[in-house]
Amino acid sequence: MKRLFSTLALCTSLLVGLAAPSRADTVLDGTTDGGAFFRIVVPTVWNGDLVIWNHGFSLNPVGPVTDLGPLASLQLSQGYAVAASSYQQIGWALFKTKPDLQNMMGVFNANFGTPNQVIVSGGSLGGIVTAQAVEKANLGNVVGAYPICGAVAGSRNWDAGLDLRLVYDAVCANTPAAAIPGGATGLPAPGFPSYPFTNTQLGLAVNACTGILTPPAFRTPQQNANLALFVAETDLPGTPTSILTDMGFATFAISDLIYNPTKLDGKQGIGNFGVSYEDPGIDAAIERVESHPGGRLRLLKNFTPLGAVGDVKIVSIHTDGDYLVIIENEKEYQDVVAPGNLTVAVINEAGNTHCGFSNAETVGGWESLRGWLAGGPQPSAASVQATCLAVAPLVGGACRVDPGFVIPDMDGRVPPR
Amino acid sequence: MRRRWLAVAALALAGAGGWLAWTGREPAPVQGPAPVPDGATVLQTLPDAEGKAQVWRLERREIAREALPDLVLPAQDPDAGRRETFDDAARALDARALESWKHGDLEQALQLFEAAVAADPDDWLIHADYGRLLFLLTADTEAFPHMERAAQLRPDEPRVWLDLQSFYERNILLQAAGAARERAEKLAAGRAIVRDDETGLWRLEDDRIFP
Repeated sequence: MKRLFSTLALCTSLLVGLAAPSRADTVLDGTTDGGAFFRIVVPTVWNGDLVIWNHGFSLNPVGPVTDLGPLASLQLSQGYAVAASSYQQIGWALFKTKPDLQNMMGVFNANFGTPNQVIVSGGSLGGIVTAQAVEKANLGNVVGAYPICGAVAGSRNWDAGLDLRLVYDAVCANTPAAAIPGGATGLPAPGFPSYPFTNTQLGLAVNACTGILTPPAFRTPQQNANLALFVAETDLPGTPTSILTDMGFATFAISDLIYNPTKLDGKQGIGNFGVSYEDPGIDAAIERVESHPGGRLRLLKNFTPLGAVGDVKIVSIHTDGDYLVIIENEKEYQDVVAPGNLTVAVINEAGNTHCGFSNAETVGGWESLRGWLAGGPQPSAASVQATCLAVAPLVGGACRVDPGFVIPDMDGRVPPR
Repeated sequence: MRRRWLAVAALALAGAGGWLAWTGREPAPVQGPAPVPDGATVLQTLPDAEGKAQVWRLERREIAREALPDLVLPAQDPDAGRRETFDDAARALDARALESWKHGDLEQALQLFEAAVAADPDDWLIHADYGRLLFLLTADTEAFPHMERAAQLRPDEPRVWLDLQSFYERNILLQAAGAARERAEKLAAGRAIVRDDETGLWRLEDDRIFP
């Protein structure tokens, strides 16, 4: 009976939220030359709480905020104010996201009063920005967090990026047209965006080595062999989307991380001394790079979670086949955050996506967090699935949470160093 | 006497001009954070990462919920109309581009697609094919205008919306991805939609991504 009433209450609140009549919202936009943009939206009927949305990784130039997150319409209809920053940095923006969010909060408080509660959310890179905000940004009364497909292992993800890049160089050394300049720094100095190398050039090079963009029947035996070895070493799905997206990070994003004066300023913050790649040929051929101690420390600080979340309640959802921000990120996060603060729900997907959630899954996770914040018990993966199923008729989409999924350890996929 | 009056008039004019110039200047920024009046745009200083004052422009206004800028799906080009016949030469270039792609000569494929678009800028299929290859190359900035144009020219074709779903999904624009998928499903009229095993892109079951 209790479950029936709570399901009815959930559906009613969603129906009311989704069917809300047109209203005027107060929008406050902030811009600064050479810095960040932000957008704050406060609905006419405001419940006193604020949701912050942190967007994903982008190497596009910083610009005005138009994306308030996949749940913004619902959240505004539910009475939440919603705010988002562009971040002042492109790429791995964690070096400056603290002041970005603090300035946005300062303006919010000055104009609308201090929110009763703050919920921080974000996707992909926005997930680790969320984790950083919870631990370090002092944004007021942060009570909840909702990272989705979040890079919540933090800087450990760059170990994987470096491995990918150097494995590529080793595997594809036999194909001159496949050469990508830069090696362990991604691209040569001065790095992205100044170094002249495009996504198209990257794709052509990777295709020359692996035939990944050529129909399988027309790949050469060398390409097939290279692709098989590359996939075996990197554990990547063998699709163009996964390989080329990840190679983009291993090229453009690493070079921005290393050469950007506001990030590692030329220091090699990631290395692979002592790493075993299991394949003797790769182990012998791969370039060995020592990380600069200061660079590595700066990268760790910006940012790798330590689990200092206080009383904040966190629901995290992640697809098990994520080809970019691998599911093992969640295990790293679970290893540092107390179990009583964190619920992780893993989506069992048929293929490999990055953040390929259905509407029902994102709403299900959100409503699970809201229920917990309202005084309900800590959700489990099973209850997130149940909530997803309850909302699916209203918002659409599949519910694929696998409560029995055991998240593997990151060391098993990205060799420790 | 007359000279004195002329001097006074000149001084008065100069003073008025100066006053007008002064009132037309943007006011100096005030230390923030401070309230912004409704409908106003103000300059305030906020601390940067090093604690130094940085000037921010803050604009506050009321807008209807529907007017909040959001990712809007491409709309039909009203000037294009629904074409049933296409330029043979342009289509031939498109076919050669696909053939080059099939045989792994991607550089030639890109050149041929460029030539096909130049030959007929309003052929939805050429834009769709070119956009797909660029998207697979992860050249998203170059791909999107072609994918968008294909949707503007042939909005009743489910393929263009599935390509956009793949694009939005990879760029974590989840609401737009869902909207594009919805549109594709309506137009597919029961035809199955699958994720392509080889590329990871969405397609109709009877379509192919690779040529």
